[in-house]
Amino acid sequence: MKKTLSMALALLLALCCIGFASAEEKQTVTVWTSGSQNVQDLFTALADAYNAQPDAKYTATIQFILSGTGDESLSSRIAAAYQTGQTNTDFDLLADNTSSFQTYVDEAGSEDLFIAYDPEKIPGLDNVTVTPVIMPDKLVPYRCTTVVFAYDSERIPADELPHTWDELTDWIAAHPGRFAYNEPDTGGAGSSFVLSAIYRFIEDESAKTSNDPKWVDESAAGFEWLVNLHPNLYATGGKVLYPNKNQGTLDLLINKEVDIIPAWADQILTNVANGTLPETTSMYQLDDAPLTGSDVSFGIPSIGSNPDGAQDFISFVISPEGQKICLENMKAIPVISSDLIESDEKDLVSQLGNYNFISIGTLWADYLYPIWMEEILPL
Amino acid sequence: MVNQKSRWKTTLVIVGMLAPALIVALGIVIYPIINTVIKSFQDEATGAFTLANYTYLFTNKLSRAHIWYTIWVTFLTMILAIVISYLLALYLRFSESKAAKVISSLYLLPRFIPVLVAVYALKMIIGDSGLINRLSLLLPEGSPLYDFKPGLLYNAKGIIIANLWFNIPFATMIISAALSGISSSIVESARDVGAGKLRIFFKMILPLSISDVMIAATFVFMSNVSSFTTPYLIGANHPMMLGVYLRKQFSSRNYELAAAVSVLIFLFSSISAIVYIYTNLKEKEWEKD
Amino acid sequence: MANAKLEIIDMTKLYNNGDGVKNINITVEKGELLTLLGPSGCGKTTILRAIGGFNDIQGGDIRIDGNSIIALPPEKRPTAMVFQSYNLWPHMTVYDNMEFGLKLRKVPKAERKARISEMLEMVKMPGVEKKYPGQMSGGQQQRIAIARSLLLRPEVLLLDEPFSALDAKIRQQMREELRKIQTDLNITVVFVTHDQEEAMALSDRVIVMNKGSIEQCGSPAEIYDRPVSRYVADFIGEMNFLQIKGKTLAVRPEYVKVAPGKGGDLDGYVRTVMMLGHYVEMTMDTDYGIVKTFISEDESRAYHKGDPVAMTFSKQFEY
Repeated sequence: MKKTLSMALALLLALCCIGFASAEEKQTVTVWTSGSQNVQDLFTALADAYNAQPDAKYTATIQFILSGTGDESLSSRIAAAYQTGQTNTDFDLLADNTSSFQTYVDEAGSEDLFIAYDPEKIPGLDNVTVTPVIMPDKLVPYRCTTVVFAYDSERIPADELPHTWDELTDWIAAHPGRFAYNEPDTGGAGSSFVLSAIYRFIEDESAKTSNDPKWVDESAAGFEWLVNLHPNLYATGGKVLYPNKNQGTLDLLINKEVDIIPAWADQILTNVANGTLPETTSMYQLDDAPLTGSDVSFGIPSIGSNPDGAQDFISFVISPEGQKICLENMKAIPVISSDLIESDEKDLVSQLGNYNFISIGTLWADYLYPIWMEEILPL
Repeated sequence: MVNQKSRWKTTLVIVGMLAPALIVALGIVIYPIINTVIKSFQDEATGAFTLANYTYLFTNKLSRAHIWYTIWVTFLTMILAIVISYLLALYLRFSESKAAKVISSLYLLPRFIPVLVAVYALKMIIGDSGLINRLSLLLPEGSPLYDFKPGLLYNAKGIIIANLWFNIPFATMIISAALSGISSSIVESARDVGAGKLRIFFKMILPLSISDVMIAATFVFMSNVSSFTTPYLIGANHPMMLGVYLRKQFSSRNYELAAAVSVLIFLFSSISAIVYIYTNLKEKEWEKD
Repeated sequence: MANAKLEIIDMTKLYNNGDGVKNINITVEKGELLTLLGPSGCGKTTILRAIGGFNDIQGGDIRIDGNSIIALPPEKRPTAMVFQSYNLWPHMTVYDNMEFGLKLRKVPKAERKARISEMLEMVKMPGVEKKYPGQMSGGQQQRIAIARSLLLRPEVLLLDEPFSALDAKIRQQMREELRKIQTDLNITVVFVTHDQEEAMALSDRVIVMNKGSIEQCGSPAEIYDRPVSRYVADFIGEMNFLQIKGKTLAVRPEYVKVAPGKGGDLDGYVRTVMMLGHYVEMTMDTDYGIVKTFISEDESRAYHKGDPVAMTFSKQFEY
């Protein structure tokens, strides 16, 4: 009796499973991205809004890798999948800084890693005002982000504010310990500062988008400047400190231990909005060479399984509704005209468009950062 | 004949029951270890056998700095932890005061706090803009301690302080157990015979507890030589503890070098483990029958 | 008292929970073996430890040879204590154990060796110098412990139930040896035990204690033959208790004479007859309680369960 009963129950369970599987199910589109916590929050909000649409044709799932937890291996994984000829993987859609896409291409060995999008499948593409510098037919920008210099205007009155890199050098020398930048391998604000410092000495503009190792020789001047800067930087316990992660320098600014830092614009805006930074916090760029920024784009890997779903998600994100979420959730700079967005927060980001675009692929990890590690870290 | 058969069966059943655990252990522990060791001997570009990774570790100026730093910070942590724990354990064992009773039930608490939480808490108090600094801002401006910045973070001092937080309770626990195995009448008869406190400590208590002290020391060494979280959060930029250095190599995609660092840390731990096993196995002369 | 070696004057030691001893007065003469006897918690160990210096006292004085010692820590007192167990230091050889105290007193090496050998002979354990305590039996360890204490030539030797952890047979032996050594050396000893048989066998004088105070102090014979309170009567030896008209009558079994029939001081009926080896224990039911007596095997043949018995008491106490 017991045996028959359990057999019957097992059969019932199996039937339910089959029935469940064959029920009307939307195909998933898996979106891969990485970065700080605020990026994860943004994408969760975007996915929730996308999935909540009554006429949603697909279900968006987010695969997020927090920076510092192996995000750098994502490009290796995708490259490996591409090189081993895999298809139908769940790498349906990728979101990253346009300047970083070069790294993916370099590791995979071919631009064919990404497919060209079909403009018909992405309505609203015409509204996008930003054109990616590389692979414009394959990448669709959805927000812009930039690193700026952030300072407290109460502690640095307007007449004392340095406006050129030389003035900044003098200011730092005159105020030792009041400037800091984070360890470049742990946060983008720090690497942006280092890159900007190096490339401002290289006159050939094409270097900024080249991954040719020949440019490494020209980095000597920049590194010399960074070495000379070292003794005047923020120090604790008698030793200069390069804090870990973007948050590290932010914390120093919040605790009023330093007066100027390079920082991501959206992080500054978010902190001012929730009160951790005072309202008098301001952002600006130096006149002769701004810090770096990038549009952040979507790219559709050729090894994905749902290109249609990917493009549908893209069109949602670049729509006015999606852009509003980006603006309000993360204080991101929108890629469509602000006239199209209904939001009170538009003014926050209106001034931030001026940034340097540096995209050098694996040059950073393979050459420049190791030099920074060897020359500056042991000082 | 029947006995043999059923013995085989029993053995088979036992092996069958143990198999899942064994496979998991082999798969999750042994295989990756072997993999890592192999990788540490591989050349990055070609995969050929090479000693270059280890040569780099031991000849590169920065790398040597990291190794030396890790060793002396860990040693210092170990010595301080043992000395402080021993004193604390002695106090708990031989003091009758109410304070001692209270402490003996509370001293393990620090270990219940997750590492991340404890390190951030430490930062908030001894950081340059932490509680101590803010309290000092209450003093009149111009007095010597005004705006006092402890300067304890982002260097070896902070790492050692944070390490002590977690290691003192543990070492105290081990040493306390050893001390409670020393009967009071041993100490009292020594006093009765005329020995002073110092002599009793060196001639009675220390010899009777030394092997447990060694065990505590090896544990402290083993668990600190590979530490990552604490030095990552409050360590200096340079030199780094090997755990942080390992991560750096890994995130710079130098997987072979990272494997070599990993094997090096493993070796340090192994030396400590060997000392532990030796101490445990060595039969005391006076315990032999 | 002229010959007083150890004087405890009006001593009080109370613990936080109220236990302890109050207003204790004891005098021990030179060469005397005094036993503090009582059940657990009666305070005997408290007093002993106070003499040794392991308890601080709240009131009173302790003097040896007329000099107060209460200000001295145990290391400096002219006393030596033997504990119930774990006396010897397990990580040191017998020789090292015995040498330790002599070294502290800066006795020269040759003399140390001589005295140690001599003492080991005295406790009948020659030649064990190189052994470790863990390699010896409990009895052997206690002997060495006593030897170690005696080596230091203390003014007063204190023993805290030293034989309680040993087998009955060994206990007998140790008692005899201790008594012999004590009398040979004429050393003053304070001995603590809960075993009344041990106290009676060993001591010159016994102090019976109950709940922190002294019930009776006297020689074993005095205590046995003239117990001053019901407690002492009950504690020492065997005693029959009968409740008659509001008073307690106490009589020892050996003072109960029995005859079949009726007409004695007290009449009753046979309850049990138990063969105990070389004598027989017989208990009888009476109107006032059960009475126990000892008779020879021959006598016992006359009695069976339920038989009437007439008892005469040749010596009794009333409380």
